[in-house]
Amino acid sequence: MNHASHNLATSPSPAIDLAFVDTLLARTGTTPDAAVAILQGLQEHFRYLPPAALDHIVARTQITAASLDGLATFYTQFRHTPAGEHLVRICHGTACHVKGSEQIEDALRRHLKMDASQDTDPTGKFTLERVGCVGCCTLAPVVVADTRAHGRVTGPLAHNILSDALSPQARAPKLDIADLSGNANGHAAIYVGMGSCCVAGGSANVTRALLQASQNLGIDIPLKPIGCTGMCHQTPLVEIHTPGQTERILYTHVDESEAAAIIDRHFASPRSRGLTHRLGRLWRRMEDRLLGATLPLPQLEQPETQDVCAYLGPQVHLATEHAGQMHPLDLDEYIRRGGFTALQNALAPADIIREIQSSGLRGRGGAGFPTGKKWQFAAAAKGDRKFVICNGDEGDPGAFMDRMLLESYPFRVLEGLLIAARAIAATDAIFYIRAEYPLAVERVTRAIALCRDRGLLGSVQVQIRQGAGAFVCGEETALIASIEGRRGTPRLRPPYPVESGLWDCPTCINNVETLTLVPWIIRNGASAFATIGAASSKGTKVFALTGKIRRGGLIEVPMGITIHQIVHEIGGGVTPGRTFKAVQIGGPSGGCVPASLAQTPVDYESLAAVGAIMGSGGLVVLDDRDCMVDIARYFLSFTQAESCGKCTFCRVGTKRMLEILTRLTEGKGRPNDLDTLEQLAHDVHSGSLCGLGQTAPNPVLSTLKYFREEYEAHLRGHCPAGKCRALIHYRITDTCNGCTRCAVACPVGAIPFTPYQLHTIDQSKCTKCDVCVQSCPLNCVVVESGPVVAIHEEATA
Amino acid sequence: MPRALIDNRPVEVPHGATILDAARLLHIDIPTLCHLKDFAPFTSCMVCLVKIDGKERLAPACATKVVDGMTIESETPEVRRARRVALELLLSEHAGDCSAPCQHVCPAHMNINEMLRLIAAKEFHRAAEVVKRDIPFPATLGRICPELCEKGCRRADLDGAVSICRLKRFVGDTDLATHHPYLPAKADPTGKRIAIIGAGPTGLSAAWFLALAGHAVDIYDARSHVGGALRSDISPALLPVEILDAETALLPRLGVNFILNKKLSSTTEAHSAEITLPDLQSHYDAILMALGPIDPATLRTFGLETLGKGIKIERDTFRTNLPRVYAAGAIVTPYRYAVRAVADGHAAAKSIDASLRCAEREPAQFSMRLGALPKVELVVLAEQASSEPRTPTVPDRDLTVEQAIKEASRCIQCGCSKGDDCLLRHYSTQYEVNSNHYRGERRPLERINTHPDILYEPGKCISCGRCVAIASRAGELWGLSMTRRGFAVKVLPSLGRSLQAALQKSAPDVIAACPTAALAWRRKI
Repeated sequence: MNHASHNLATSPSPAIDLAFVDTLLARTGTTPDAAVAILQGLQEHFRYLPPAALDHIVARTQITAASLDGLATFYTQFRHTPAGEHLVRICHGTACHVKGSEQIEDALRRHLKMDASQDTDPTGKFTLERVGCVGCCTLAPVVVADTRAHGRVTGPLAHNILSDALSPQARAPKLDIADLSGNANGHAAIYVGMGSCCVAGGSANVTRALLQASQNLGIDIPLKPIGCTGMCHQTPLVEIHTPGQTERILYTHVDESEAAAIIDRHFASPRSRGLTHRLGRLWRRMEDRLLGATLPLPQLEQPETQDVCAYLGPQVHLATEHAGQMHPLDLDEYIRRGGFTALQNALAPADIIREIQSSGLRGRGGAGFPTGKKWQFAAAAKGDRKFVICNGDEGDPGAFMDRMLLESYPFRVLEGLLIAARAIAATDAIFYIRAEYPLAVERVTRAIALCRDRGLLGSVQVQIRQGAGAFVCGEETALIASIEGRRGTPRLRPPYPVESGLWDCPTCINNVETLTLVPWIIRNGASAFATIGAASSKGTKVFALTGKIRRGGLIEVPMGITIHQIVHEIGGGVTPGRTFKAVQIGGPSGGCVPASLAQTPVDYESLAAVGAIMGSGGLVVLDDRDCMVDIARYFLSFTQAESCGKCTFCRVGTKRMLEILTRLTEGKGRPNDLDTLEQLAHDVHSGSLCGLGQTAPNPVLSTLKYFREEYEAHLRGHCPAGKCRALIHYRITDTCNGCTRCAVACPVGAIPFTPYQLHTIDQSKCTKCDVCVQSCPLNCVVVESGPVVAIHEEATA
Repeated sequence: MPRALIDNRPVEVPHGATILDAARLLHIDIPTLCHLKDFAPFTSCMVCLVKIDGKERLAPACATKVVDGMTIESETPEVRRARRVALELLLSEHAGDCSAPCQHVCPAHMNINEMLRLIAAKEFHRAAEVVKRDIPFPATLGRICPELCEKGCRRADLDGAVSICRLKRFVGDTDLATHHPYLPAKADPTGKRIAIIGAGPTGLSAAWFLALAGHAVDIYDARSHVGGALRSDISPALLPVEILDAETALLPRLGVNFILNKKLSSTTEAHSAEITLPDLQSHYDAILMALGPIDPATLRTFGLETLGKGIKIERDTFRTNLPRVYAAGAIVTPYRYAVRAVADGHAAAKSIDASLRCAEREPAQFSMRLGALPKVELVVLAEQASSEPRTPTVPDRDLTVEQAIKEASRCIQCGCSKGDDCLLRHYSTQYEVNSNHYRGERRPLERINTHPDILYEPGKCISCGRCVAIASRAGELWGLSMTRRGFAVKVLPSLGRSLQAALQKSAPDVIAACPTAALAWRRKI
């Protein structure tokens, strides 16, 4: 933050609309706990926090200057300098990282002529921001330009994102799914996936095109927006439900240009048949991508028994019940499918707790604390005011389960939260959702309003609080601090929040997925839940299956399933030609489980035993091109950036660990670095105040345990996976036919334009951006680790 | 009321009391850098970690409440190690030297920063006090010192080192010229008698410090005058005899007896001009061998073990193999610099004094050393110093008063404003830390000089949060704010205000609470 030394009286106030600030304060209130919302309002309006506005807030509210400054500089959402016209956020989540997000950022910076220290381009058009994870991991690498997410970005084409942001189309009004009832009434209907991944894949545009096409035909086709189907690797998805047919037809990777053809094929009136003719070429392209399996229409009562394909086969849908069937904001449909019966079948609080206890449900946020026990403590705690909080601050890079559940099943999460409120006699219920999930915030807000109108909330005060960009706020004491309007720094537990939490009141904080499972358990009974899963880990777990996997997506599997089953049966293994190396489970708190331990069952204890954790459910598959030292460095750089900076071990200890790892990836390791790193990892684990610091060393410890030889290779200046840029070089093999694509694509002119000749790379110019690899149609560009000298020798030999 | 065991000692505490409270009841010293009485725990420094029986991780004593039946260990090897690591991590980001490099480099570790500050303020007498804490004969050494300190001077990398050695001579000469040269106050007599053999720089220095400590000191020398090599080996043109005489003449005023023309003999039946070690051993509580170099074979005839070219001693204590016999100076290791002899005599005196008082030897004081600094940081340090270039010196000409003041004002005062007062240094000494263990990026060296009375050095902040909390409780309008996060955390006056605006009420409390020299009073003369 760049504070100028000035005084209120003398500061030359830039033209800031202070009237807006007053309007904002009238809306948010002026109490200290409104501080984050006030800052978010300022940020939204001014796109940064003008100092004059901050001074004005100090003068007009009960928020002190010290705490306002502390907040404004703590959360990454807040800017302190004006931003460019367009905000381009480059996701550096785990999946994006392993799929080359650094190279994407390089490409954008190069295109915008920005060096690494600048955040806004010289023309003031674009501001680039690095973000932890936007939760669209299956579409990695992802870049979000203003509000539009772009998936599967490649280095050579990354600049298209920028021109897209400048196009008039980018300012098209947002599609409101509440306007789409999708009520088919027995007629044919189109289902379109409208989770964030689908939208990032382009489903909003596809929907618009479908609507336009049906309008052109003059027919009114019911178009139903549905939540996440889990098949994120296939987005955008369009499904056709035809009356009289028990099978549904699924189109995958649909492009908006194909919308008319789809409408025409299934819904066209005889007079419009002629269209088909003209779109013949489109047809064939599309049919290639029509899924081999046609899916029978599921029975509403038992949708999870269907056995459709390998991807869906081993899955069990409890939290994601009716996946791909429901309109996220259709309360009637939710009720029709059994929603709110669990809440209304009024079990007494003690019975609810007993039921949850005997179901064996454990917290899905990571640590696996028994949910029933937590509720019991919270119920026993005395207080006139009690809180239940839904922890939707899913910050793990590479995880997006909570986002998907909040977006697709907002009523179900709310029902779970209301059941929890009843169980512990809570007066207030709060959704804490990270600001990086705008769609989830929007849908939950609407769901609350709809339920309030329907009288479903009872006497419970339900509200939403948004995080402002701080991973540590997923830790419950930090989350509480954040809601109270303080910096999100954790404190020592005990006392636990169930005894003394938000404003010192008993507070029961549960993860989104935990709460989502609650209505199912109450409706179907604890024993039904307990029959699913493993001995000490009951029920199912939702995972975000991402990384180097063929079929990535959102999956819900029974506990006890093996890693092998998930990776190979559900995910279809890694890309052909590559070998499965490890899975990273549990994000920055978790570890890497090597392929040799793929038979490890997924339950809390087994994962802990191999050095990983269940975590919130990020499961990133790594192949032989992924460097484990780089992965460890990646996670440490994440935790280091997200450390609140309060306690010594985390603030400085993780920094020192990161420095060692960075040295290693740059080939500058020192002989005793591995020992220092390992010892420091144990010290940081033992001495840190909160879970973030205590678990931050896990990615390092687990990779040191299973891949020590890779660390040792880095000490010798060698990166076996060919990932660490300082230790690799690119080379063109003699299978090159001189097609010049690489030479044209190379952004730094390191490949001379020599048609029909073997291309060569000038190592002194090469920035290792990987563009040549991506542009070569014959896979002639290889990455090698070791001294470059050898290449010249080879070339001249 | 919960009861617990700390280090096997039972304690009963009020409800809600922390382990730190309980330990204080038992007078067990648990270190903490961030905790403040009557404030909620900050739990930031993590130096107060203790082991609770049955818990995997260590717990911070300041925030962990005592539960009935708790068993706590406050100082196991594991705990000591964890505390040491916490301190080492804090030091790895610390941008500050405990003392200026010149002081480090000076074999006598004289507080040069302070001497120069006093000269610049025309407080010459007090400057002499400072010098004589470590160098009893500044006029003498000021003429023959090899200027090692100036090689350490940080300003050397900007526009030439401060002429420290010249200024030391200036202080010594000015002191002698008053005709009432400074003599420190003596401690109460201890009744202990000490014999020093050899009236050279080592012996004279040891005699000075032992006499000040209250011991009765006799110095023996085979020659008829004192000074040893200072008189015999140095040209009077360089070191005039009157200067040496004037400075050594101060010793008898401290009660030191010069017993001249007495030679140390190895034979048991020595004649009257000779002394023997057994004889001295029977009359004195301690004997310090402070002679010049002697051939090892001869030394062995005294019954002394030898190593290399000199007497074999225990490095930390200066003890020889003979009971109550110590050795220091050139008779142990021949060396070239008188200042090293003076320093050695001082160190031996400390060891003898500690031994005679049966005091436990304290661990060596920790001292943070940053090493070379980038030029931008040197410029930051030099901001408040005189921008004049180094005063040219002429070998035989003394500095004028004006020259001395001007030259002393060039000192950039790169030492720490807290010095010995720093809690971080205190615990670093106690836990014998190695500040280089976790070398890495540290905080930038900054000085916020805008307040008339306070110097704020964010590079020395350990983010403990004490000042922020105190200013907040005092109801400061702006106060201090903990800004940013992670490694970038930085305490700053809120919303860009000045330090003066931020600390209108609570400055004295904030500064008293700062565990390092991050927030400190500007050094007053």
